[in-house]
Amino acid sequence: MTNAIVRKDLLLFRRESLLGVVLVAGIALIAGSLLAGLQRERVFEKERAEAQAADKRVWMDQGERNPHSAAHFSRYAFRPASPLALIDPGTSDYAGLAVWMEAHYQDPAVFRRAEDTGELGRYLQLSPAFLVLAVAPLLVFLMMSASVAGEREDGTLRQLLATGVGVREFFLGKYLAGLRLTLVAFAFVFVPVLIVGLITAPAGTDAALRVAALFAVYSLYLATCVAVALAVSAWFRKRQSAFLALAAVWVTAMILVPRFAADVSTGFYPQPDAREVSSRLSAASAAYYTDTDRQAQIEREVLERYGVESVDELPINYGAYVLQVSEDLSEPEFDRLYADLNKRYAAQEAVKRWLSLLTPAIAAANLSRGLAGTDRAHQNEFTAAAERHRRDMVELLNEDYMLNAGDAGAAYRGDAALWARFEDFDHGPPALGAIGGRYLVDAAVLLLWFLLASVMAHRLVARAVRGEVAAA
Amino acid sequence: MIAAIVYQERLSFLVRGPALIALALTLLAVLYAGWSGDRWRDARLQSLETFESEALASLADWRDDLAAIEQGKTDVSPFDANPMSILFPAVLPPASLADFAVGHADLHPASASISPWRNGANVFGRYQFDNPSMLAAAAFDVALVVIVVLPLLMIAVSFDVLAGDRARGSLAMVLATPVQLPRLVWTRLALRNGLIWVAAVAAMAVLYGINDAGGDRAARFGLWLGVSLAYGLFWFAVIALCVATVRSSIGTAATLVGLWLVLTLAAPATFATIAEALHPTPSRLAYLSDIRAAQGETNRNLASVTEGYLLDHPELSVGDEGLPSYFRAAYLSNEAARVSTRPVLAAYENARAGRERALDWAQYLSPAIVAQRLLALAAGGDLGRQHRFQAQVGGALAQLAGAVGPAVVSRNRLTVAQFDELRPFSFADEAAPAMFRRAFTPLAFVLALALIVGVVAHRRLATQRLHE
Repeated sequence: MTNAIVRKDLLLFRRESLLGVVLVAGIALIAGSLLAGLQRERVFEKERAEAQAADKRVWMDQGERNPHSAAHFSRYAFRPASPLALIDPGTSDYAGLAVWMEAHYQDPAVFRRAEDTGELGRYLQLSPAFLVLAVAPLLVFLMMSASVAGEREDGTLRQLLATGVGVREFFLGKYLAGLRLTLVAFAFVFVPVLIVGLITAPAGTDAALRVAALFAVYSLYLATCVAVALAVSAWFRKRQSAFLALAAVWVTAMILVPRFAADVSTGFYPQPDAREVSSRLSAASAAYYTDTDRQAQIEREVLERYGVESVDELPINYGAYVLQVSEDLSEPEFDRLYADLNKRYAAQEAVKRWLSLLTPAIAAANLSRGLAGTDRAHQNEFTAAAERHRRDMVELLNEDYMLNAGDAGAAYRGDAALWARFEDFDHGPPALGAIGGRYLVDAAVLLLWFLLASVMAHRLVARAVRGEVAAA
Repeated sequence: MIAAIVYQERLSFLVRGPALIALALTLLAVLYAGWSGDRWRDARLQSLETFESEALASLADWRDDLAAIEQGKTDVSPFDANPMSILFPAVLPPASLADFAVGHADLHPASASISPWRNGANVFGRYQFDNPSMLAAAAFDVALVVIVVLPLLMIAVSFDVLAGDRARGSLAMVLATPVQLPRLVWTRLALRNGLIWVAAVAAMAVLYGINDAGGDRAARFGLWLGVSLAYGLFWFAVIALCVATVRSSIGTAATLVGLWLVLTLAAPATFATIAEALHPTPSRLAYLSDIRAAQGETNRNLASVTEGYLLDHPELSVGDEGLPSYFRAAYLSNEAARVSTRPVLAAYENARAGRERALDWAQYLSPAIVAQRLLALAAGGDLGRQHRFQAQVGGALAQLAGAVGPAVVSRNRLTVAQFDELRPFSFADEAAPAMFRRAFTPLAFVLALALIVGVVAHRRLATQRLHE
């Protein structure tokens, strides 16, 4: 009997001329957003490659120079392309593209692409992920609004019950029909997108695993939407009421709550004051130079270690030694500063995650960005790798200055042979297996939403059936 | 007869739950968004004031040092009162109505350090410390409520204004009385939507009053209200047309929600994508590469560049040779970067202007775009204001570099008189009349569109009576 209900519903869906229109519109939108995404990523990759080549050229051609002066000039680390950014650009446009690996400072990533977007840039971004996460639920709601309410309004539910159909069969029939249509339409429209994403993903990334996980997440999310739609449809006796309620649910859950949640999060934990952080960064950078006791202590220790009376007698360049000491002293301060910032970001995201109990869209969006490699966690991996590279390279330059300056002192010059030892920054996005644990809470929330929505749908369908039986 | 319609409407709608829910939601949404915007504006103001006062205090110390040296102070290091160390703070204060719409203001720099040490790439300092996840979500401000939420509430309270009676079979009975169908529909729509808009305007007026920041707030608020009401009128007319055209409640609701989706979400997102594809800005990374190439070139040829500069300024006599060469190198490389990046900056300006032109036309395809642009303009969260600040900072930086360059390259100090001639930065905002002039045509368009749609709706309603 369940199969008969599924077949009947699918037949009704197929007869619905609106479905064809919706499918065609969906394909057109997805294709448009995919093309826009492809264009964006192609341009970005070209710009990144050119900037990286130019950076290396400028570095190698800088001529002879004091190694510490070169460490100030330094190089830039450029963010690698995200594995599936064309599917979900996520937060990548709002995070910096490049980190200046200069001496004395752990700079934030700069050049945010969002700053170059036009007047409407802060509007919603038309991406395949947005279409799946925000627009597809509206179509599911539209399609499913009459699922149970229509049967009740037309009186066909009573006829169906008179044939001996039980609650379980009826629920499964309605649920599976909605699920089958939604997932088949989703697969039909979206699998080509995932394939394009897979083909265009940067080599050496675990894009296949990410694509598979994205497919699973989107499917679970849409299944949750089907369950929500069924529950709401079963709550009402009329198509119209069910449709309106679902429209309200869509606007609230998919459009307003995610934005409201971000606002509430920054209400509890405001965005850091850039001037304050910048001052702290400068203070961390000057940790050695502002601590005269420490300066004297370090000088004593060095003189003792080398068994000499004054810095002039040292076999190393003391100025260069101090430069590295200042780096060593600043590094823990930088670590603390960025740990504090990350703690604040995490607290903001935790508040938002709590609010994901109001809508499955937040958890699904978090997972989508994470799997596409366009969330803050991936950005953090990039900036952390850039900082490790900076520390290694600045140490290399200071060490060369310290050991080789000899009598030349500050007039000592490094040349292209030394610059060549400053390796190119090479960082790929982290493997999903290494950071997958970060997304478990979101996955659990989405699963919880699916289960709760399914249970709720079952209960409300049962209530509707009992109501009809009682009325009969 | 209108009194009878109002009475019936009071019984059937106003005293029932949906009206109260719509009213409460309107008040809550506007007041929350206003409170959130005010919180953001206060934090921004406080940060800018601290930055400005600290920088001005340092500058005053610097001037005291210079004055002491000029008066014969002897124990002087080459670093004291060095012209390279001049730093004028530049701030972009939130506009007087900034609590109504954050717009682009949370994304762009609001302060800069105008100093010869800086160039176009670092004059705004390190400001990219915001959590990108939160930035991407954008603010929940009053503009969002006006553009996205209020039309939805209008749709929710209005979609069944006629179809409800038709479905219940009571429409024919109502029309059997002397009441005119257009009058019935317009009165009902005016009552239901009027309730939402009176609540919204009252809440906005409260925000205007309690968060008063002085300045041109009244003018900006006037523009804000004008745009909001014109946009509301547009939706009012669209709802009337749908009510007059579509016979079933569900059809009316579906059509209106579809229109809302297209006009407020899909159209702006699509046009933004198209405008960016048509007028791509040059890569920021290319800009960076240009700056670094110029800096590298200057450093490599510092001696000849310095010699060239001094040859161009034969009046200069070289001062304190004890000053490290990197002062001079930094100045000259920044100057070289400024010259070499002119083409890329000009290309930026061209792309921005192209996008603006494209949007100037595209906005007429969706009143939501007009509303979004004009509300941001009224609140001072528009992109143009950010760009004006950035351009003015660039100008001030070039001016300062020109003023201190001879002293830096020749390793001399400025005189106190020369320093006093330098003007601190002050942001020149767009005057209210200019803002109104810019807003006039798009605003007139929305009003005209509302009028045309309203007239069509009225005619349809007038012909429907016979049909019913």
